[in-house]
Amino acid sequence: MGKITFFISLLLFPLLSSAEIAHEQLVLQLRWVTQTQFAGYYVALDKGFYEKQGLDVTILSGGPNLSSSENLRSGAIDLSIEWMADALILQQEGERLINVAQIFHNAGYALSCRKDRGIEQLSDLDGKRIGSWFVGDELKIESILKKLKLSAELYPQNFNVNDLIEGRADCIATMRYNEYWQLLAGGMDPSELSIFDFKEAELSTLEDGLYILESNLKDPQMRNRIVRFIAATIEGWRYTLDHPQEALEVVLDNDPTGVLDEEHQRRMLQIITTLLHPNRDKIGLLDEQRYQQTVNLLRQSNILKSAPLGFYTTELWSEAIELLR
Amino acid sequence: MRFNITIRRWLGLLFGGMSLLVLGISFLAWVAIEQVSKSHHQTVINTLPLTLKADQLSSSVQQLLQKVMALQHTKTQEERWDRLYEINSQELLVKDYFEQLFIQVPQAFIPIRERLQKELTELQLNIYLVDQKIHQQLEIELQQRQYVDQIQQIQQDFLIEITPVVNLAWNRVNQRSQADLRAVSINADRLRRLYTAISAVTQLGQKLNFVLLLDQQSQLVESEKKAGRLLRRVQKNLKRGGANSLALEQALTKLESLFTLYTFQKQHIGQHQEGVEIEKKLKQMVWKIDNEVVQLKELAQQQVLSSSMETNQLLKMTQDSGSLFTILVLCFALLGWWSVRKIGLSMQAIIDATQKLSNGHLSISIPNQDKTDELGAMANALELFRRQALERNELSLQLEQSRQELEHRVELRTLELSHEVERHLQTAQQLELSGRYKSEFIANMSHEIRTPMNAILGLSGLLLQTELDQKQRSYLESQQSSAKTLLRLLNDILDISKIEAGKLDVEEALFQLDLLVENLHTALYSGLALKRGISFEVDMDRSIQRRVQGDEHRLTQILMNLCSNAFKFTERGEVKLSVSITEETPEQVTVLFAVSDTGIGMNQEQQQKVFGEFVQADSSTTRKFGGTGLGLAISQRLVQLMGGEGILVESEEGSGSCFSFSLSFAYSQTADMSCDPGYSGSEQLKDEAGLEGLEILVVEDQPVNRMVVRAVLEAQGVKVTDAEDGAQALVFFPEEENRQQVAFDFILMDLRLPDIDGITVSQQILERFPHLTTPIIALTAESSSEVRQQVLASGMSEMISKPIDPDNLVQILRSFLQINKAKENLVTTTTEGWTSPRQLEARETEGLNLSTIEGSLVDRMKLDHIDQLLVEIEKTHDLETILILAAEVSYIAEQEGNQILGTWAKRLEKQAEVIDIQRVNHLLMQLSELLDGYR
Repeated sequence: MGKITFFISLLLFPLLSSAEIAHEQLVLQLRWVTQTQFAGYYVALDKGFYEKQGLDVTILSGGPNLSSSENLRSGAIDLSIEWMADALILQQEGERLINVAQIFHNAGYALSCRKDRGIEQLSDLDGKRIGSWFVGDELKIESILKKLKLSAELYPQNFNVNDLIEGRADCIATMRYNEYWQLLAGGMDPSELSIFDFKEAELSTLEDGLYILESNLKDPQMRNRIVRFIAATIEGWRYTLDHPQEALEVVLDNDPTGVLDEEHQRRMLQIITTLLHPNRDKIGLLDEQRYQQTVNLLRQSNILKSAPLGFYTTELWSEAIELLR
Repeated sequence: MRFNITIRRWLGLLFGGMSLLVLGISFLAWVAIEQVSKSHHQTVINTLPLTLKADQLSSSVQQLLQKVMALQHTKTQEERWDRLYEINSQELLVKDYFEQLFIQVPQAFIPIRERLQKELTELQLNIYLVDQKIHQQLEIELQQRQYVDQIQQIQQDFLIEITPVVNLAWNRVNQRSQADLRAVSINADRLRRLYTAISAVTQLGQKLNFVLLLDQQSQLVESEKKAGRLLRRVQKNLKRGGANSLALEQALTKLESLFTLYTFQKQHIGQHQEGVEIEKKLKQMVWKIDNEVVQLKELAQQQVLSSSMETNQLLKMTQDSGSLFTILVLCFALLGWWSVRKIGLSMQAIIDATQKLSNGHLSISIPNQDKTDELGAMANALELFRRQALERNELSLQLEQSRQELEHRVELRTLELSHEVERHLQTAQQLELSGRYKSEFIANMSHEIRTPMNAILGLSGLLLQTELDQKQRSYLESQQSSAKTLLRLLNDILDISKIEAGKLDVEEALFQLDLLVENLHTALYSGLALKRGISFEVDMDRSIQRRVQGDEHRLTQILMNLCSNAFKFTERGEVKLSVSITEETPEQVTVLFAVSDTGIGMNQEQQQKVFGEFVQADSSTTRKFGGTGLGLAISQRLVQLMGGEGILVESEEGSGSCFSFSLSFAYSQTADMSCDPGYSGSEQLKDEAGLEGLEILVVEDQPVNRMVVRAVLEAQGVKVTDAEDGAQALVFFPEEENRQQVAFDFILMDLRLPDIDGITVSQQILERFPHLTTPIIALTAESSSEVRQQVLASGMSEMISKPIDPDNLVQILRSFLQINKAKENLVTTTTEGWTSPRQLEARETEGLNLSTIEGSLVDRMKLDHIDQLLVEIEKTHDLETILILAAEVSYIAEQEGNQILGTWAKRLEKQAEVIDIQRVNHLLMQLSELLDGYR
């Protein structure tokens, strides 16, 4: 039996490898499990935008216990999606990461707090119990608390929203496109919640961006692949904006678990599209001012010791835009 | 001389001719009666089977519908053929009934026949359509099953094809793990995608398997969408997983082709829905056909009615002309007798003269010489003879000859006259024959006459209870009193005709004589006496307390008649009824009844005539006092029928009369009840119990009678429930619930019901509820003692004869309540005491507080909705709406614990399902009353 299988494997081998030969391979690691947060990448894959750029892209879904920086370093993946705060800290710790495109222009992160605990504005957070995922988001909260000179109890929350619903916490970390909806689905009313997205307080930090190892930039062939990847990704996001329903279907088709809730994903996608740069020609372009704001926040809270150098480049993005013209 | 002879001939001719005419007309009248009753009989004979056949047709159509509904649920073609066979034979049956129904029907039925024909054809067409749908559905199901059978095979093929690909990917992940980490990532992702594809194929298989279970379009759309997505998942993940084999693609194509299952299933559902639509349509059509049948029956009833009215008119005409002819015959007989007598007397005078002449007394004077006819001529001739004899005796021979001739002529004439008299007698016999037809007819028509009388009396009584102005009231009162008179008249005539026909029997039952007299005194006459200002005294032998055997009803009738006559002819003074024992043995007692008054009295001649039929002491009394003059005749015959010698009358003109008679009664041989205080004394009876709050079931098929009884009872605050036949009545006494009591305090049962007769219905009720204490009271137009015995033997408690006298009805119901009350008061240990369940309930709930009552109020909105539904049903007659209504009412009934309402809802649902339009309509009419309590 084993022999026969092996024999058939040999027969099939050329068939399988032919696909590999034709295109240059790239592996992207997502920051979280497959969901419409990453619609643009799946659309680019599904609609053949990567293929059109001569790329054979594999998208690996992420999860709570994946260390993308380690995978980047080991060469198991070529690109990863990171929040800027995480990436800055990794760089400070010695990882040579570089931001080549900033996909989310606006922040989806928000603290959701119970109004019945007397929380109407940020200053009310003093002395409260606040949940955090401790995947970098705690930094943001700490910075804000430091900036406003407040003290509060931070604790590691679960990956669900029950702590807030059942009243074990006064606030929890939520993404406006994900956990916020879960709170509503769990029976809470929007009027019962105070949402702080830190934007008005100019305390928001940049979220999903594309990161590669600095070393890859020096490899012209690899650099070229990344430019093409960025171009196809931008095309994928633009397509998502134009065809949200199709994008939703694509994400559902590519979900390995097959258990995603269609309605939840639709709402998520609605919020996600508002996180992209409002000017569709500038999708993926890093905003200098927001970068500075993120850095400043981390420095003020003394999380970042010094200003980073060469942390990002918009060159590849410009080349990608050229490619798309 | 010639002129005189002609007069005599004319007279003879006139007598003969008139007699012939009378005879002829009597014959014609007889023929007409015969003919009319024959044709009426024919109409009845023709129409009765029509109703029966119409019912057969409608029930066979119902059965057809049920068979078609069974066809709808067929699962295989074989079953379908079986059902089709059944349907075909049922269709033939329907056709057969239809044809039988319309053999020899009058012109009036033709439009109904044509409509029915059209509807039946349409029904057949729709049955064909149903079958087509079923056929298509079965075909689709067959194909679907074939498709479903393929699913597993395709899944297996797919797994066989994909296994090597998965193995390869697995090997590559393992082999390259050390060398190229990116390749590991990529192959791990491919492996994961292959697994995703496999699991998606499994899910897809399941989805397709379940398609046949989906029966709603929306579910199908959703499932198809998901199946499509699963197929896409398989395709995309296979591609991304690097499995591009042709065999896999083929398996996928096959799977995709199975998506036709959805198309089929959609069709299937569509067909099913169309089937349901057609079924609805079929039901509507059956409904329509039923409507036609109902119309047909109504038409048939009308025909019978109009025929009997015609017969009635004709008979009346014949009757009138009959009496006219009787008078004519009498006139002619009188005239004949007078002329014979006159001729005879004159002749005698002439003969006397002639004898004297022959004896030689030639000096006498000859009578009748002044007359101008033959007699005058003869007298003149005699005179001439006398003169000639005086002058010339030789002419005596000539004279002898002419005398002989004359004698001969007289003889001939006398013979002729006796023939005529005989003929007149024959005519009179014919007339008597037609009179017997009349009494038979009257006896037969009594029921028909009593029914409308019932309505007139009942409704005018009810109308009197409403608000009226003075004029209306006086009109109505005189209408009612006329109707009462008419009824009395009718009863008298009936009795007489029964007596004449020998059909009147007297009953032998136990009764309490003293109670009878007491009732007569208290209930009926003290009122009349008071009104007329005459004292009424009853002098009863107190030793009459044992129960005797006899006809209580008839005895009452006699005494009533005598007493009312006494009141009628007495303007001041007193009327006295005395009852005394004249002879007593342990076995029997002889009682003398005497009614005396201080009225106008009678002379000797009047006393002799007073018991004749249609006779009153003086014909002027008819004008002054009214009545038929039959009462005494009837009473006389009744006394004789009961074994008495007859009624004796003693009277003196101006100082009153006394009518008396003696009757013997056998004593009851069973245990004597006279000591039971519940039965004796009138104190309890006077204490009138109210009927308010009682619940009474009225079983009566005539809508007018039902209305009257309902109105009478409702005026007393009674809650009335209707049933129009035995089956409906029995619904209130469900067999399965072995309860001891029912919700009714009384049951009024008409004996003549369209389905089961009232006696049988009562027996069935008592079988179901052996310990039922609710009295069942029979209502009937036939008041013979035979019927009465049957009624009492069947377990019913009392009988009320129609037309129903509202006061009498109420009185009887009250007397039941009083007997019960008296027993309750006095006999504490009795187990037979009857207590109205409603009263018991009232007693039990006396202490309840108000909140329970408030809690039982039905939601206003629900009632409004029910009203809406009723309006809609009235407009559309939609079956679905009726069923919705039934469901809503049933809900209310459940909430309220109202069993009657619940039963009602169940009945409505049942009748609507079998499309019994008449009953449904009837039930719908009841609803608002049933709900009245909640408004």
